[in-house]
Amino acid sequence: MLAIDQTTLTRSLNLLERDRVIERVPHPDGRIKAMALTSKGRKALEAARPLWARAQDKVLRELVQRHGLTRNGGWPTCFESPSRSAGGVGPEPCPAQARTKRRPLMSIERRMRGRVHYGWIVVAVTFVTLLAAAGIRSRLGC
Amino acid sequence: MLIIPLEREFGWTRATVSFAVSINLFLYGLSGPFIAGLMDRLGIRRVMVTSLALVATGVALTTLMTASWQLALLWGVVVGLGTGTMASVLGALVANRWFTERRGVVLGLLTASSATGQLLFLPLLASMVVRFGCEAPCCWWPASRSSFCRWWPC
Repeated sequence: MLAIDQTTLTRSLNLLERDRVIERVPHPDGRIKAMALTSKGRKALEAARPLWARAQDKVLRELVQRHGLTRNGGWPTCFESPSRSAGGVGPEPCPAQARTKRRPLMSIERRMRGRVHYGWIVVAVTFVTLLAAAGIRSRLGC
Repeated sequence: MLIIPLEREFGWTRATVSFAVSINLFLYGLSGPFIAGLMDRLGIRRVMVTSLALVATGVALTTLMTASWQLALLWGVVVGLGTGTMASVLGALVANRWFTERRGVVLGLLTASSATGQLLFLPLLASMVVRFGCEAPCCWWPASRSSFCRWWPC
């Protein structure tokens, strides 16, 4: 449900538990770890919700203003290339101003595309480690 | 590879050396599930660094050993546990955590790396034994004769 790594989630939950914002509650299925908000946690959530909404609002508003993104899903409503919407169907071509202002996001994406995914670096390091371990073990003939 | 040089150097029987090797193999296999649990709990990076340090210490200390129980302890227990971390469990964890579409390719690559390690190191060690004598690949003890042995890091 949450797009969080297991270890990250455990660590975050432990921190919340340490601050007594949540507590462990028993679950009939022993394999499931259930958590519940404490009264302190409920109060904190109530205080945080409007703040969170305001921050969300601010970020989205600035994105719309600066990069011509829309609130629904963040995709632009206009085409970058005017020729593609020549048939008159679909989104309008972007006004010249919006096109130039959207460039920061585009350039970041382009830079990311050329780079190697970090996972491959992890794989390379793991490969070398496993190789070295096998080499060490092979010394005594096994 | 180094069983015979060890026998010759220290006068140990093959059973003595094999005992250390079998402890090593036993712990290498047995530690898998426990180490996977430890990696989930503490993080892969921390476990890897610790076990690499463990292996390095164990291997370095084998150069100083004088008795056969030290071989069993260092090579069997320390190196066995340390390399147990770098078994197929690690490959599976990494492939699972970082990849979805290419999980199979990555898992295959990492499984192949162990075989590649043996493939690379065995001929290398063998040629060293042939060229520099039996002690060269590891200089099991510091008083080894050739100067090559003195600075060769084990």
